[in-house]
Amino acid sequence: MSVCERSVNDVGGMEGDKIDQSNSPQTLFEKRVDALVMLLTHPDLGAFKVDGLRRAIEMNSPEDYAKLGYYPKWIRAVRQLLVEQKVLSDEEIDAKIEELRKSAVSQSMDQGYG
Amino acid sequence: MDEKLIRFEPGDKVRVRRLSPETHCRTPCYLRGSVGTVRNIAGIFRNPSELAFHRPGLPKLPLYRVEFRLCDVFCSQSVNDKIFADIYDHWLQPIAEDG
Repeated sequence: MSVCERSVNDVGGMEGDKIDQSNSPQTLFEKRVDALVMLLTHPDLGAFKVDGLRRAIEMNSPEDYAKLGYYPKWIRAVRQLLVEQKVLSDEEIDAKIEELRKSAVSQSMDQGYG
Repeated sequence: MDEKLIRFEPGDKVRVRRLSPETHCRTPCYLRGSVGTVRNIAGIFRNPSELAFHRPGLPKLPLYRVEFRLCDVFCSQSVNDKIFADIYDHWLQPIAEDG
């Protein structure tokens, strides 16, 4: 077998753990991330290509690549690509996350869960 | 399909080049250096290594479906099992029939 530089995702032929082949329904988070990528890669919108998504995922450190799940890798890559393409800035994304977090906290307090 | 770009025909023996790309590529590490046989031409597509960086991906590249014997790629007792991989033109080099 040849020796070469392999990127973090290129694990074909390597020894690994047993693959979990059990199936479970997609969560709402997973469906939303999937839909977001389908919309952003649609030719009419063309924010980035699926090749860009793959490249961004492959840029994860080996530790993050192993730790993060499939769709968490996707959403992290989407964020990176939207900033690269100047669709959104890091500051705008952080501000929106903070706004939604506060809104979620106040909602749960209103409902008496806080 | 731009026929002029096509370098290999079904049945041609090819070797996968031992490149070490610094960026996104679609050729798995375990096939680099291996010899296989072109089975068909999947089409001519924009270069995914370029598209990955928001560039146009031109010139387009032929994509070949290449057949490898499992026992030529991995230390395997199996002589009948095959690997089929789609490999872009710039990753392949020709091999003479008797080579």
